[in-house]
Amino acid sequence: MRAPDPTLSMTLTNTIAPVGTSFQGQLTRTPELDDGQEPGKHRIQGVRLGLGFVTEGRGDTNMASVYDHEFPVDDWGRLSVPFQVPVPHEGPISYDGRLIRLRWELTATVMIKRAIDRHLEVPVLVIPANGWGVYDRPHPLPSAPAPPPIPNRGSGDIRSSSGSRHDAPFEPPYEPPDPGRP
Amino acid sequence: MVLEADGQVARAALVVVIGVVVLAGLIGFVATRAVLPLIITIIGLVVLAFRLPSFLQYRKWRTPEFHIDRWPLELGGRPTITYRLRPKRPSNLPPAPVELSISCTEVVRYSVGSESRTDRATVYRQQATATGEVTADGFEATFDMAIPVDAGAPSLDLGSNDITWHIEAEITGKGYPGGTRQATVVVVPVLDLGVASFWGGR
Repeated sequence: MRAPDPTLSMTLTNTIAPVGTSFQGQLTRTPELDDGQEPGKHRIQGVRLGLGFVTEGRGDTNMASVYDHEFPVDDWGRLSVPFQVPVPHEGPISYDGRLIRLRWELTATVMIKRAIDRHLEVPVLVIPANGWGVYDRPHPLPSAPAPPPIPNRGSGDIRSSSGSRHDAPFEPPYEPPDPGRP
Repeated sequence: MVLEADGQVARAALVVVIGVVVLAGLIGFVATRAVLPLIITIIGLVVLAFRLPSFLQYRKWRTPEFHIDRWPLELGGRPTITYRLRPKRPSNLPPAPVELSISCTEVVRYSVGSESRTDRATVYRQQATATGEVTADGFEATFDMAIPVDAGAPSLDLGSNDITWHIEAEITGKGYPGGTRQATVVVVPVLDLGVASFWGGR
């Protein structure tokens, strides 16, 4: 069980990224009162940002981390940095199949000296190249009706500072299409 | 892209192994007059009777090939696949129907105690039939197949969670080698833009 971190927040510019592109956003840490009131007295060693995927389903779990970077905090344990996390060209893409489900996650970890690290996990969606405006969920797309295009590249900020997991990260903002649509 | 059909060597090896078993059973029966070698010989002969005609037919042809007009395959694409059999000697066989299928299978491996198990689920399969003809390049049949965006997924090889794509061809004409021949194809996580427009994205 991973300990959530209420001091950490991640603002994403895009929660959907085609393979070969990147996730962009801002990582912010606001210190707690007991972090240390004097400069240099806090126990925070840094904040590590990672991107990885994990499989779910009937098979044994496969997981991999494709990106890992450590950001230093300032003397007060604060952090506010923009980030750009690349997604590999070869994928894999997010997938929700019959025996296999594959989901991607951005993870920020606060590394604390002599204490349990705390985490913030944000589910993200990796889609095929050229998939902008087509995918709003893991592959495969629904069979008959096409999903409505996504209005833009996800300018709506997804802010998560509670550290709680999203139970249904990819559940659709999906609506059946207009039958009159060609 | 040209893919050679899998299993040419395996098929030949299987026939050789069955032949050796039959021979060993026969020698055992002659030497001992026991019933078991006789049963082994009879079973081997039956299996050989089914396998040998197809094997002998294939010996008259080179390894079957799948010619694909684009490579690797993309989601939503419609590749043209030509199944080609080149005879070792000139032949003048009549046209024959060929059945081609393309399929996507999820393969998962998991442990139950000390036992390792594998489950498979075919999540997409498309079949098409065309009439093949003998041309200057050999016997050929051409198909337009679909890689859908609403089923299957790009090829995946993670160890315990794999997604594989196969194409299979079978000729059902007299004088042609029987049995199904297959090859593995690769589907990459790229959406074919032609179909993307169909899906309303562009």
